[in-house]
Amino acid sequence: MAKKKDDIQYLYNIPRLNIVFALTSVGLLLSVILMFADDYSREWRDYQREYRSKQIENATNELESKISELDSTQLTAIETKISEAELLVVEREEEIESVMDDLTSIEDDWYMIDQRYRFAKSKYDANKYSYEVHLKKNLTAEAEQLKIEMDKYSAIMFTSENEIELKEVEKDKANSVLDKLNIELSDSKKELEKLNSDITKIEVFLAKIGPSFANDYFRNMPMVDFINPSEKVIQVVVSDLHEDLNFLTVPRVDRCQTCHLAIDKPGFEDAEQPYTTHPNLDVYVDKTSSHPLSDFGCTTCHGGLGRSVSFKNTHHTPGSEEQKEEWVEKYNWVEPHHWDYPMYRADLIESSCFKCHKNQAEVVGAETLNAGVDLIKRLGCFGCHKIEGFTELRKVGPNLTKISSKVSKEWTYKWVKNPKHFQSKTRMPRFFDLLNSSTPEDMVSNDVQARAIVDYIFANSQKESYRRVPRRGNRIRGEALVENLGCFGCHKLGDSYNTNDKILNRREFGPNLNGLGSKLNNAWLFHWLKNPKKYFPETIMPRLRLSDQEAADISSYLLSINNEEFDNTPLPEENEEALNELTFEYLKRNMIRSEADAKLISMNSIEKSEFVGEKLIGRYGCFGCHVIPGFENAQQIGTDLTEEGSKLIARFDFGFVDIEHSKEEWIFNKLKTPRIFDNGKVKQFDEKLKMPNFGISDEKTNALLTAIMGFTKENVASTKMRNLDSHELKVHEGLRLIQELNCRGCHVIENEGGSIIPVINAVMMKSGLTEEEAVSFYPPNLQGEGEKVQPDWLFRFVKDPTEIRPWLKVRMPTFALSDEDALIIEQFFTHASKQDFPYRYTEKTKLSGKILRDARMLVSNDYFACFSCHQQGAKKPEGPVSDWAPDLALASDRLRPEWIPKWIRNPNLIQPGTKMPTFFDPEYFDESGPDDILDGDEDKQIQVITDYILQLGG
Amino acid sequence: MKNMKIVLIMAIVMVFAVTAQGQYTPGKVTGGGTISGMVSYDGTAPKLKALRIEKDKKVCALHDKFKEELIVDAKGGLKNVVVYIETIETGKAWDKKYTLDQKGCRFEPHIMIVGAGEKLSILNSDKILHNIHTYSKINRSINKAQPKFKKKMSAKFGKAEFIRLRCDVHAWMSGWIVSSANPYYAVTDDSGNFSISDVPAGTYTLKYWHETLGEQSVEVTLTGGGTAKSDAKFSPKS
Repeated sequence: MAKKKDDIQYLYNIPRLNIVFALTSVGLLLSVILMFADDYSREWRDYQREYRSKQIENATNELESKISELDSTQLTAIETKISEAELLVVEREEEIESVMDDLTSIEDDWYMIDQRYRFAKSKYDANKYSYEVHLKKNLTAEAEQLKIEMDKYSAIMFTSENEIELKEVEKDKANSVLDKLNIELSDSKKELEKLNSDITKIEVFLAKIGPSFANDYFRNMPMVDFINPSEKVIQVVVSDLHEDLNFLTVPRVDRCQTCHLAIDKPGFEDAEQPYTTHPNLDVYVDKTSSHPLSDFGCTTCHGGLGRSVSFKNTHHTPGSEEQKEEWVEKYNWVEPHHWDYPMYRADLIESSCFKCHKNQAEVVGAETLNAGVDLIKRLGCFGCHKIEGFTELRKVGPNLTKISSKVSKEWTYKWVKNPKHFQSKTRMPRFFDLLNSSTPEDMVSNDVQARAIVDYIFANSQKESYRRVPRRGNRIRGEALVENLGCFGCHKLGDSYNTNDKILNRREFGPNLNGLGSKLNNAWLFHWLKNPKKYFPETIMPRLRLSDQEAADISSYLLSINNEEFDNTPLPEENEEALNELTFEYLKRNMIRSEADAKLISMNSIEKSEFVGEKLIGRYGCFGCHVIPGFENAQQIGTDLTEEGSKLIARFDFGFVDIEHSKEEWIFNKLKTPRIFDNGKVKQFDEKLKMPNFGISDEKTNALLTAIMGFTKENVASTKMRNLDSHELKVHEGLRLIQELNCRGCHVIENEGGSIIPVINAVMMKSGLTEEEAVSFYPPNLQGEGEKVQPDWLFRFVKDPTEIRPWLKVRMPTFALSDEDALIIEQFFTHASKQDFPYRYTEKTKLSGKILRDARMLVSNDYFACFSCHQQGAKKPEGPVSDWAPDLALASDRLRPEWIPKWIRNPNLIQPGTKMPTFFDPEYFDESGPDDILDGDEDKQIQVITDYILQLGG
Repeated sequence: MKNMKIVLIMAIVMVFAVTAQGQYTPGKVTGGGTISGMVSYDGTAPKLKALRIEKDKKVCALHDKFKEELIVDAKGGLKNVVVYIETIETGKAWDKKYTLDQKGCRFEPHIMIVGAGEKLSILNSDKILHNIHTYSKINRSINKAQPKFKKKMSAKFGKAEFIRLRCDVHAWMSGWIVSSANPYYAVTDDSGNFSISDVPAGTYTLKYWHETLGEQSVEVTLTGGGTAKSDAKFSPKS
């Protein structure tokens, strides 16, 4: 059946086909090899190789230094000790052998003697028994014989016993010689091992990674590299943190460590990237830190594509223009197009704290973010922009319902036109003559617009009539009051006492007091100072409990300062044509042209202006910050910023502005120059961008940017959120209120604040005191306040403060807090000091009898003379009030009983620089009290004084 | 070699420590000289301001008291100027005793010079409560009560400094503790005269310090056993 080969007919030329196949297979092989080669020459492998050689270099260096260290010091000593011991062992071999021989012969002897003793003893016992029997039977002669035998054996026993003891001593001696030799040898060996252990560790490490055939070639060879390669992708999978990979939510996988090899290893702080150690290992990355790498990964905070292992695809973000250029050259860096969440720029990294820490009032260590969040609250961004977590906050600007009794219309025209002209740092932003409204026609219209807004507000303002200021003020006294009362905790006055806080200056909390003479009238200012809440119920400005005279003095001082430059700027001009244009523009929205024309003709200028004003207030959103009649229910006009940080880059309109296409750049430019993206565009009046210019510094803009970039839509698993415990909840609730009221302008609370201190120093030095002396004039430091005072008292005090420290010139103001707010403050201090809440006062037994007499002696002028300075209810000390010390009758209501002895013991420890002297010298405590009271027991004396003070209040 | 290096380093460190602290080593001075002079006030003598005593009058108001921050006599002599040699490493021994008293509610003396690191005895002759409150920058501030039963206290100031001294019980009480770097410190008397004795021959920077008028300095050269005169003049505070 089989046909001959030659007979088979082929459709192809076989030899040619063979050649094609051969070539194809060679080609395939080559491409496989190329694929392997490509796979084995990837970026990260280079980094790992370089890192390995670095490690080897470091380890070798360390090894060398360790060895050289040893050489010079103990090692030689120990080695000689060992060799000596060994030599000794050899040398003494004979000795040892003879000792050993001795030991055996001694033991033999001992055994013999011992036997002799035992035999003697048994014979003695036998004889003793016979002797006793014979005696009983009155066989005296035999008994006598037996007695002699007995004595003989007893003598043998005695000598044997002695000999045994001697032999035992000999035995111990021989043994101890041996032991000593052995111990010496083993100790030296142990010491050597200990010294060498560091070296051994390095040696083991080097063996693991050091140069060898296996390490260099074999382990990473294709096909075998699945076993235990030295080069590999290192990743961390965080199962409860997710990322969004195109419609799929998957656990976060971060491979950053593949290149950032030393990220968790201390010692590479100064190494070049990517081998640098992460900063603050006690907070981040480290296993024992609060953010371990295994639990949080890298991209959770940094952003970027964690799954990638190449520089470009992970989407690093350059920190500066120079860095960008460097990266473009080195890594072919490009603006990210394929990943929506590139890494945060290094200076904005605090953005990512927000998503997990958003229920805290402030995040320790995240200065920029804290400042940004605070700025949003202070500038009132939430007035126009909806931002979750920033709702139900009070409007940041003053209430305008009674504006006409406060300022003149003329002043307000100029103010609205350009507030920065009156006060360069005012929070009121500028709306007019900006980038997209600066053509000559715009300028004319701007004047008309500013006037229109003011006309509307004044037309709707209630007129409050004030009774005449009852006293004439004195400017000089007023100046002293402004400097001393504590106004400068929240206000500045021009550039005087310029102090630099952090990003946010607490002394810029309230408006700058410069130029008030150009703005306010005497009656308004007087009544405002007396009771700010009367004019503006929601104001934060507290009442300083000023007397009429004080208020008049302060008014006359503040009104004596004018802003002449502002006074000399011309009023915004009226322009009928522009007003008509605007009126018509707004009229025709609700009616047809002919009706609008007719309506326009029927209106007079004032009506037109007020009509346009109302529309413009609606357009610019003035009601976002101010209470304005007619706009009680108006809606916010700006974009919702709740998820701004997650907004895709494609949804930002860069227009014709030539900046880098990144969210950071867009938001930064928007904040700095809000109208910038209208550049080069043709727009109608109504289409133009309308966000006003706040004139904020780059630093503050970056803080705002940090906060805004933190507003993301990411849903963090509850296990990873920073959950607050019951203490912390109250602390953060309190901190929020403390920020809102700017308590830290004067007080140090939780290690922050006291911004007024440099001012007090300067003022006190002007009056001839030294900076050290000024300390006792600072507002009380409230660190540990919860340990000091009773919560109930604190509640009453913050609601209605009374004078405690008569010498202080700064005055605790009355904030008129609601019960809820006072409770928040009360709980804040209690919980911040980790005290139990509610507080229970334990009634003390009243002192009586001898103890009471002792107590009275102790506080009397013959001993501690407490009442030489302290008030005691109605009993006042001598001298001027400013030299008095706190009323001790308040103590039982105010202080925690367990705090008083601590204070008496060493007041300076609790309040450094206090005027209260130390009565019990901590250095010689046992000798510091009087010897003739309570047996000179200082602890008892302190306790008795405490008990006495506590019963003063009645 | 290594040991040599360590010794060298230690020697350098010690030299630094000594010079940095300006440590003074007391010794014997033979044939020392005297620097003396008069400090005057270049202006019309201000009137002494009387202090108002409103507390513990029985003890404190026995004698009239005046503000002591600027006292000038009829001839222009300025009282209470501290005149001292700024740097001198060795010389005469420290005084044996330094005593500050609180008498009639006044610090006696108004300017208390005490050797740095030497013991200062503090007395309370008034039998009422006083307190010693110092305000220092370099040393540690102290605020010790001295009630009636505590007749004597002591204090030490380790480093040289001009230290403001006050009593919080009696706000008008004001004085200075001058912790001195060496024993060559003097205070001008009622007529503005001072004298510093037992000074070894040499050239020194002599300093004049006044609590309200500030400080000035001059160079003084002294030959063995000789005397040098060095007057100074303070102008009124502008």
